[in-house]
This record gives sequence, C-alpha cells and structure tokens, in this order.
Amino acid sequence: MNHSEKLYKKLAWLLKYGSLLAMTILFLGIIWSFILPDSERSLKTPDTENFLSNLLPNSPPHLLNLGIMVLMLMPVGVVLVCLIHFISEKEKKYGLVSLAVLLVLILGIFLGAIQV
Amino acid sequence: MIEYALMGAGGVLAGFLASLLGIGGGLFIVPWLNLVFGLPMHQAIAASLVAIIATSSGASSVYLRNRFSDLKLGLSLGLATVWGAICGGLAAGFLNAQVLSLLFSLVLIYAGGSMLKRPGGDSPEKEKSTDYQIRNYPAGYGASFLAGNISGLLGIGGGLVTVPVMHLVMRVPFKIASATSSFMIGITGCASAFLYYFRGEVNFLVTGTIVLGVLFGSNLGSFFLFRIKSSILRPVFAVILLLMAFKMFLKGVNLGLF
Repeated sequence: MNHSEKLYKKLAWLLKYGSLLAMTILFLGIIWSFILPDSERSLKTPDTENFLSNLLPNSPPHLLNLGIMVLMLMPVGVVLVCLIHFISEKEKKYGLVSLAVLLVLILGIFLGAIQV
Repeated sequence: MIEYALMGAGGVLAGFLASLLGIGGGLFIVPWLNLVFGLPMHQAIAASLVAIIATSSGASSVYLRNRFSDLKLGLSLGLATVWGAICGGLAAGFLNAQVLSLLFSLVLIYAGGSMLKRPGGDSPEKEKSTDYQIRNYPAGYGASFLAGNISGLLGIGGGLVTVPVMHLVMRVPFKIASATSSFMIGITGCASAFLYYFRGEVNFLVTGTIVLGVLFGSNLGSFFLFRIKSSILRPVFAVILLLMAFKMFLKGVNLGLF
C-alpha cells in the first residue's frame, strides 16, 4: 500500500466512523427529547462563554448539540489529517494548501464566535 | 412529535433524491423546512448546511475508499470554496429572509432548468478514469469561490456549479468531478455552518431530525441506484423544484397567494 492510499483509507475511516458516532449521538438525543416532553427542546443562542459546558450530554438539547458539533468538526479533522500526512511525506505544496484550508476554517469558527 | 416525523420524512426524501440524482439535498431541505413548516429561512439554511456535511461525509468515505475523489484537487479548490462560504455565511447574517428567498428561488429555477435539459439514464458509477490532465485552474478557483458563496448564503452544496466546471472546463472525468465535489461540500459547509451556529440559528432538534432523515434517505438511494432510472425521476423532480421556486419567489416578494 503506497502512502497516498494510506491517506485515502485513513480519511475514509475517519469520515465513516465519525459520522456513525454523530448519528448515534443525534439518534439518542432525539429519543431523549421525546421521552422527556417537558425538557426544554431548544437550546438558546450557544454563547461562546458556555461553549464547552453546552456540549456536556446532561440534557437532550446538549446531547443534540454534541452530535451536531461532532459532525461540524469532522471536516476540520479531515483537513488536519491531510496536513499531517503531507508534512510527513514532505509534499510541501499540498502541505501548504492543507494548512491554508485549515487556517481559513479556523478563521470561520473565530469569525462566528466573535459575531455573537 | 408528528411534525418532527414529517420533517424527518422530508429529510429521507431529500437524501433519497440527492443520492439518485446526484444533487445536493439542500435544494429540497431548505424549501421543505421553510415553506412547509414555516421554519425561519436562516434556521432552514443552517439545518441544511449541517445535513450537507453529514451526506458529504457518508458519501466521501465510500468515494475515498474506492479512490474516486481527487483529494489534491479537492483541497486546492476547497481553499476557494471555504473563502466563498465564509463570505456567503457572513452576508447571510445581514440579509433578510425575503432576499434569501428570492435568491433561493433563482437557484431553484437554475437547478430545475438544468435538470430538465440534462439527459438522464447514465449512472455515474460507470465511469472511472485515473488518467486525465487537469486544465484551467483559474476558472476552477473562480467557480469554486462562487459555489462556496452560494453554499454559505443559501445552504446548498455548491455542486451545481463545481461539478460542471470541473468536468467541462477543467476536463476532469464526470465521476471524479462528482466525487471530488462531494468531498469539497463537507469542508465548504463546515466553514459557514459555524457562522450560523454562533448566531444561534441552528435549531438542534430540527437539525438532528433532518440529518438522520437525510442519511437514511441517501443510503436508501444508493440501494435503489441501479433499480430506478434517473431519467424518469429527473423531470418529476425538476417540476417539483420549479414549483418550489415559484412559491419561494412569491414569498420573497411577499405575495402570499397560496
């Protein structure tokens, strides 16, 4: 198996099991939401101060939030895996491209967080 | 609860059609949530963006394992789509729902029209070529920025723009272009989804329901890929898109005729 094949396999694995994990969490969150009809079903504006505590699976909306966050962060993980691979393989051009994509994604998260 | 079950059913249908017709589910999800359930436009777009990340992840894991996606091309063009998506996502924060509805109706007209024109019946699975020379990168970057912009602004994948440009302008085989676009869509969606998330426009229960529905539907679609002729589905779906475009347009110009 050559190096590029390894990268494709790693990414396929990450996407497959990452989305399975997110689906499981979302499924449990939805079931929980309907078992406890009185629970508050929608989490209000996810303020950045409570960002991490909103991801603790202690209520249905928090569990759903966690599942959605796993999904939303998966592309960041994909680009990170590409970056590490290209750096370790000394493929400078695509290492830089991956780094640039990663930085723009982080910029997007940052801009999102500061616009609240 | 019935309302959420119906929303999920729409997600199943969106995923099913997206998988069979090779289009992004966002074209169906946004009007479904906005026109049928009255979800605010921004929340419908946010739910669609998260669903797009999910479908892209599911499809890309298969495409990458079979080496259909061109990873290096996807990352290179992805750099343009993420910039576009951030611009689109930020712009959406300043635009009201009516403007977004009008813009969405235009995209639906384009999608419906191109679906009617496109000859159906050819399964993308038949073509796989690893021997191709990519041309015209600048046009690809420009189109990718535009695709990212539309994605961030309206919550659709952007494959409507990137696939034809990659295939016709950059000379990438259709299957590779389609699989590469699928890979890019997840990264693009992620860039703008966080903007909607931090604005508080991600409705968790609606989004979770839609995501599960879409994924179930797309798996169902892959099962029926060789059992249903897309040439039959294509005109039907095109008409649905055009009807939704009409309704969306009326909503955009604030004419509640029906």
